[in-house]
Amino acid sequence: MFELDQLSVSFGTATALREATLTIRPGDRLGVVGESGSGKTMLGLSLMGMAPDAAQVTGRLTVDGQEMTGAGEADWQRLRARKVAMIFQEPMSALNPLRRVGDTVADPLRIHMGLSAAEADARALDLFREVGMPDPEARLRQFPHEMSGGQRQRVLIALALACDPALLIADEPTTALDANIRLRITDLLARLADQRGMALLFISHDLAAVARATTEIAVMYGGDIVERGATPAVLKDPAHPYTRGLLGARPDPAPQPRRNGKRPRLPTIPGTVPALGDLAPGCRFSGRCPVELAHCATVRPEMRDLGGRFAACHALEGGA
Amino acid sequence: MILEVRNVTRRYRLPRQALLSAPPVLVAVDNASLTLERGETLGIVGESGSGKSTLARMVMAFERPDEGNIRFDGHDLNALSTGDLRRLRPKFQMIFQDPYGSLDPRRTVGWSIAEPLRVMASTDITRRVDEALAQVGLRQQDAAKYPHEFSGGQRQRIAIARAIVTRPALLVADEAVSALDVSVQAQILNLLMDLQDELGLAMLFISHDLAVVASICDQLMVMQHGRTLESGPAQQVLAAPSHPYTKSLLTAAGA
Repeated sequence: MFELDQLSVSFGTATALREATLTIRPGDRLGVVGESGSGKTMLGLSLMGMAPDAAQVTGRLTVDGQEMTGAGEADWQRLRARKVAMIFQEPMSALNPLRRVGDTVADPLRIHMGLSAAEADARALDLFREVGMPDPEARLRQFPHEMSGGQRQRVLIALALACDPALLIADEPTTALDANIRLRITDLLARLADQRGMALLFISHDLAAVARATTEIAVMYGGDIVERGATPAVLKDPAHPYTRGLLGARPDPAPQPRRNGKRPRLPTIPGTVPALGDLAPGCRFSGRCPVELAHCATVRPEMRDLGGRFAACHALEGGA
Repeated sequence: MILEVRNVTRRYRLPRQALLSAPPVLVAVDNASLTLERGETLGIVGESGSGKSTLARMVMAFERPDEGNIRFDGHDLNALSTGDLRRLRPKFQMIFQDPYGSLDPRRTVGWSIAEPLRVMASTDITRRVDEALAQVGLRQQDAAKYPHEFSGGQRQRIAIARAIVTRPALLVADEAVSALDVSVQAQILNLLMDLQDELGLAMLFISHDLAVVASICDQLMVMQHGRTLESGPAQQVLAAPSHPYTKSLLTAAGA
């Protein structure tokens, strides 16, 4: 179990992640959505103990009761080997181009799990089968450049699963992939989490992929978690004005006929995301919010329980 | 009709795989045809390797088709002399995915926007740059700034300003909003729609994202491995896709 309690990551006066409080239990499939600069990647990196050296980290992070706040690199390495693994957007740059992918996957099995070379090779083959690699025996001997993007992403997933992590963090795992492959990798991650009882943190700006892969969702803006709850509920009936704006701005794949010769415009969120250092001390969304109140820019809204789901917004207080 | 592409094929020779065998040939675009009216948008949807960008490059006369022909405003692009093509170019312009790569970091934004006007030896350059900046929602003062001072969405506005400063009849947009966040993407799509209404632009809008294309296109063409799988009025293709590949694109877009 991963518990974040008021975890903040900042660079001088710029706060990339502000007092994130979150619990990730075995088998949870949690989606994290938000735009560039929302802090979603920083949240993922913090769970790996990989926040940049220049960052000041405050608050608490515990993993299965073990205090990881301020833990040294050796502790994090032990944790990363056995409890948490991460996959990234670009599968080509994450693989060593000079090594056969089977060897890349077998390495951590020998190093962290103490398997013999033959045992590690056999286990790598099992993993390739588990991630649905076509013709797995032959693929083990291939180099990354001989594989398609979807196959390379499967290699990385196999590598991430090698030491049976309790939590798999996937940061934009499908963004670089074509539509068909995107669906298959999304479904694969959800299936693996369920079969293994492994927690999945699925970080993406692709709301369609998050809707498919996750059961819970956290929406981030300007370093804050502004809303969280069951994925279908949040996507169907968003409570926070930012979530509403984000969902509204997403183009609809349904046909959009012209009316009186004019094409209907997309709803937009006015303005642009401010630089991290220029964010309001109160609600980060103030200045762009359509329902903003006088104190929004100065007073930070509390996370409010709206019956099984949560949103941090002053406009929801008193009656809503 | 502003653009007519007729039975266009483009092949690339790939590197030889064995010393004595003939080099394999990739058919990047296979017998593609399309027509585009003034003031309308045609969307081309496809993924990496579909041939959509190759088709765009041929429409821009950056490369020549091996077969077929492309007529822009009545001119056969591949029959024009270099000089005639250069004189026609201001009428069809292109915007790309990454505005950072297409703007010179050492030049002011105003200088970059004015570039196509200088090629045309246009007078009243300053006034037209100001006008283009206003049309894309930027301020006159922004002309003196450098690309790094702008956000990704603003840089895409600058790229659009440079494309429309010559008052083109056709705008080719290749993945022009793909690198942008959802909320910025919606702003840029709306801007393109505004400019189309204002200027009567025809647009060739190329994207891998079917939902984005659906929001902006009158006509839709779906490409895969160089072949045209289906094409027609966007509403018809989206409401009743005839090819399974189009259906899977719709599923991936969350339909």
